[in-house]
Amino acid sequence: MKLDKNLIIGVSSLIITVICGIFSLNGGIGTILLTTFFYIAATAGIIILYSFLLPKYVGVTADWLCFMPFPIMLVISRAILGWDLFMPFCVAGFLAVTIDTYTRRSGKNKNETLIIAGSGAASVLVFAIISLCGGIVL
Amino acid sequence: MDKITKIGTEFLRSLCQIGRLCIHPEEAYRKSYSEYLFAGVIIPCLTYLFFALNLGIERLSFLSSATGLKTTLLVFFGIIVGAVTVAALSAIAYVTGRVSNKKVNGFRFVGCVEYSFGIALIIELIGLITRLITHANTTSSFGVLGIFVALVSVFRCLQTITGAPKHICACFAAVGGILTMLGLNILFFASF
Repeated sequence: MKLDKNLIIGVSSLIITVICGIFSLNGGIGTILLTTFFYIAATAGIIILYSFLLPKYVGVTADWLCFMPFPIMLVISRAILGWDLFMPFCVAGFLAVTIDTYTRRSGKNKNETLIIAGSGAASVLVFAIISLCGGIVL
Repeated sequence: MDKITKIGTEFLRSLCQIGRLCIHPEEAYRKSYSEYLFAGVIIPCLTYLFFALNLGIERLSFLSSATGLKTTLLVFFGIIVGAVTVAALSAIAYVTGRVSNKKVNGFRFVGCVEYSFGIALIIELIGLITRLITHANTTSSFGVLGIFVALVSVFRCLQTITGAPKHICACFAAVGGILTMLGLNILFFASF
């Protein structure tokens, strides 16, 4: 089976994010793993929903290269700068993937602006609700 | 009366134009530099101002050595950090363009970076208001997240304008992100 490079990058980025999340002081291992699982599910859910609503303009596969800078920044922030942040990197990374997915196949759609703004706001809202439910201190 | 209405209409039109550029910052690259740059300068400066103010209020609440004067200094320092960050991100775009053999006008890209901070400005403002109302710590949640949301827009502009392959863009985006984090780090650990 030929492995997709995009998928490998996505999985590696997610693993790095999860490992950094585990070491975060804001939650235990179980909380972080569970919350990260919900993040992925929420992202997939949002993408599927928009793909269903606007199939002509929305791509169904996420480009995980957009997510890649954020795990790198997360590692640098923890290892060199000594920050103990996890949430902003995770949310911004998923937001980058979500927005990219919606706009990658953008044609001359007059609702494009609305989709971008709505999807961004919805993503942040969903992640914030999950974080609060997961017990991670924002 | 007609003159006032005309001025009001023009102001609203400019505001709508700025709002549109904040959602599509890559369009600023094609716009006239002198027309939109100076309006755009305010956006990242205000974003960093609100971030620094949020940080300053947090320090005032738990640091006995923190004073109003120190907070004011921190806010001014924040504005400088914001301006330097915009310049650094524009330089990154210029280098990315050179690497991908596409001529990128770094000076014009400044406009894109400036308008990318539009949504971040709103997030920072919401964070500041939330702190003032609920006294919750919103420096990392709203503050850092707002700056990162701006970075997402900058990365998109980088990709659209330079036309570089995605993996090269991602690497340079990471470098830009690290430079931005260094700027935030300076603010976090500033001794005033």
